Amino acid sequence: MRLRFGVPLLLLVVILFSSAFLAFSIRNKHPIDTDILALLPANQSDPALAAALGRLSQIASSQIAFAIEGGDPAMRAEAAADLTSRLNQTGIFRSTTDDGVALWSWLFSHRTDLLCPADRRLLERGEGSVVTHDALLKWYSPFGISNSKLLQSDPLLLTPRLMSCFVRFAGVRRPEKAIIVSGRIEDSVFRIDVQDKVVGALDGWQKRWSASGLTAFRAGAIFHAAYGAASARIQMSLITLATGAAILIIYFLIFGTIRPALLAVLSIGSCLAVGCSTSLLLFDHIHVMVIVFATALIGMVVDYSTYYLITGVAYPQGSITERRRSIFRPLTIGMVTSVGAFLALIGSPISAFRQIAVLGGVGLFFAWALALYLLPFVEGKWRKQTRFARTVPVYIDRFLTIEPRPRHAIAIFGLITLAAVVAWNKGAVLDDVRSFQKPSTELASEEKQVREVTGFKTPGAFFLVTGKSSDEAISHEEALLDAIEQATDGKTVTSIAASQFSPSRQRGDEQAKLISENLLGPELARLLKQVGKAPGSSYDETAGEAKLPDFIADLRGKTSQEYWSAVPVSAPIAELPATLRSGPNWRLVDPASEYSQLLRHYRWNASIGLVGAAILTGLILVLVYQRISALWMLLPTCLAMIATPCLLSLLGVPYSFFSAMGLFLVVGAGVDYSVFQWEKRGTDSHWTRLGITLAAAMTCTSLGLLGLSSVFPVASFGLTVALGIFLSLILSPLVNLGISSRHRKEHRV
Amino acid sequence: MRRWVSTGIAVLLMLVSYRAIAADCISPDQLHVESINKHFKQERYLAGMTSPLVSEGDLKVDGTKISWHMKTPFDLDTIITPEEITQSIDGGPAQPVGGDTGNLGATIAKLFAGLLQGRWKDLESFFYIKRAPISMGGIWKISLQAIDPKLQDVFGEIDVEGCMDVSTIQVTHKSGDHEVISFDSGSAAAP
Repeated sequence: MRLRFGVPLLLLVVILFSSAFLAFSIRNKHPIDTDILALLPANQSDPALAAALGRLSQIASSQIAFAIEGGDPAMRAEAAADLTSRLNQTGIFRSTTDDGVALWSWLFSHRTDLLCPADRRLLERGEGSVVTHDALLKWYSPFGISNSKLLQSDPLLLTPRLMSCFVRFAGVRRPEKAIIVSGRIEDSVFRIDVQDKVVGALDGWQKRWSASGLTAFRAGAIFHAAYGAASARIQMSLITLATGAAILIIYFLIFGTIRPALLAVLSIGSCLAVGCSTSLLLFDHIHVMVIVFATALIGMVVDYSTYYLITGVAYPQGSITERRRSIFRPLTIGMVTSVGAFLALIGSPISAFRQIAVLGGVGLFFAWALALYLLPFVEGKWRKQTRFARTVPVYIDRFLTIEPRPRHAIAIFGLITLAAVVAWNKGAVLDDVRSFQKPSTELASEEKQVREVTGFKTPGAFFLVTGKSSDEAISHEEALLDAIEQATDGKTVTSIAASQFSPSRQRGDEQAKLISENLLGPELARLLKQVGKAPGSSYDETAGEAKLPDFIADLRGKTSQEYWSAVPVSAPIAELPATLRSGPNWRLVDPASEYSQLLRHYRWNASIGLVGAAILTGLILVLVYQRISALWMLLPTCLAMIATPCLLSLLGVPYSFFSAMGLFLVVGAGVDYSVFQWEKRGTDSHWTRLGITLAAAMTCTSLGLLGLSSVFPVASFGLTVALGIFLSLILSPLVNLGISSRHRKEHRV
Repeated sequence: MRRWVSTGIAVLLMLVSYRAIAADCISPDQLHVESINKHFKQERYLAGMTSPLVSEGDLKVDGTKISWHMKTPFDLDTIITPEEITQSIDGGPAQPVGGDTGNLGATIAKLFAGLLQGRWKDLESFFYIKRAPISMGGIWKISLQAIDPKLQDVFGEIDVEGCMDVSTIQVTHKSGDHEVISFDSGSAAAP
């Protein structure tokens, strides 16, 4: 008695706690991550590279710029100030001007130990007078930036000299047409609450200024992420609506009452709540594509309820125990193989797939538990079979009870082999991350507009420098910069290097000595005399404890084994001399090709892993059924596994790492149909065949709808699973090949 | 009677000559100069300094190209064009200034050329322009304040004074530093 009600009560408690935890997390932790790069694998063999790729991606994605056009200049200036103010009010925006001020403070406080490479050479040659002469020219030039404050603290104008040497000025190319508001977002731009804050500030601005004819053109990853999140919301709504409608219609037609459909919907909601909350417990954030997948999981989760509820139609007089017993073994084996397939994704190098593994595995296990131990207590009384329920199994039976001959199997095998050969020769693979997401045309056009006005460009390639200590990594970076200068004749190919602002101890001491002995000593008094200022200790003043600006400090990092720093490249990679591609302690990294190579590597690994997954599933079947002929149950799934990528490839969907990930699910979930066919063969099991057909139809509907996604990894994953499941079902009669003629006769009888 | 007549003629002559003198100055809106060739004297007054930094040289404006050639105390020829700013020291080869500051240079070039050539309409894109009331034919004064805060840091407030062309430009910075650039009579060609 205790056990009878104990399990359902436990399940109810789990549902209640999970739902409360999920609601609390979504409301307070904003745990949804929308970063498309989170769908790419991390390089596990090179932690420094993985960390640098992550950091550079974060730096690039935090940049934001607006070009305000229209109206007259006064209006544009007022509108720009208003936009800056609104962005500042979000508490997560830092304007470029603030960064410039922070950099000035840092350079000012280090003006006596930092040197531009050209100035270092001058001082080494004892030509400090050139620096003095330049400063004098600036003091006398029109509209110079020199002023009385600098005359007191930096008469040699070393700070502005460092600024103009190290910082590339990002001006406005058409100031008569546009005004720029730029800066960076100091929180993850891939969090939906952060996107909402920035988009909200912009919406408020647009409400006030668009009537005056002003337009703010946007540039920045945050807008692409917000667009991706909005697309994901549409996909989720579409999948939920389509799958929900399919469930309601099919359930109503089969059961003739709305109650089973409502129970199925509640069951789906409960499984997703438990799966999502477990994922949130294990991961800080979950990717938006995992949420999209969760909606697609509806089709798989509902299978278990369908299998159980169908037994009510098949055996209306049967007790709960009898009905449960009738499906317990195939349902449990199906659950074990499906959950096993999901758990195989835990080995994936991509965090989003590990989240899917937890969500899918926990969700399916809970669906199994609900179907067998809670649903029986709430399903209510059964009515008579509907006409639809009596008619449809007849048609399904005609196909699924086919007893294929060996020649049929050979023909199918031949066709699949032919498709594989053609696909191998004509089909394509896709590892290039640049093709993974089609950006919004509107955003691309606005970004082009901003780029034309400002030259705004997100950084791409970079040099990765490593060292055993922080100082060693900085020294190696200095050696790299020296090598670049030699190889390019001083041409600017990097945008910013942290060692120029914060040098190694040795380089800093050398520079301080050079400045003191070859510049301040012999030249300062001469300059002050020339401009008519009394000699003084101008260079004793520092700006206090200036902090290295974040946008420079972020270019450095540390892993458990080594220190690294990244030097972003501003020139096209093709223009870099070959000698700079790699050095003793550095290498040139192109993130796009790096990710592509990784994906290629993982695509192969995952494809090989599929063989292992099939072998593992086969072992489970042999262990459960204690006979070698149980391996026949694996045949339809294996054929589906081979045919799916070939057919998709011939239809123009290239094979990728994400296809391979999808095939893991095909192995685990596709075998369910064969298991049911094996367990429930014979004419008396037409209700079982109806159950598996409905289950497959709903799985294909929900996962197939992922194929509409504009994000290639999601579309590829969804299409692969949908087609794989479909093929697993229609090939499932092949299990009959493994049944001996004696068994067949027994079943017929 | 003759005394009255002669007094009247004298007054009339004085009035005519006053009008003739006053009519020497054109309205700033009539100032449309394509090319300029003038001598300049720049005085920089920096807070805390008793005497200004004084430089002199020649200014040439030709369309959008400006040559600011300081000859004393140093020989520095600064060429400002919409594309770039270059400097040539002691007659040496022209070198681009400050890495990628060409964009700012282009802005400065346009503005400075606009000031000297009287293109007030173009300058309205960058400055709030305030005209002091002037008596007909008298010396005129125009004040300009940059709209863009970044340009305010470069230019501060600009007061331009002129008659037939620009004679003095005073730039007052937020810090209190100021520069006075005066031009002696040179040649200015109408477009």
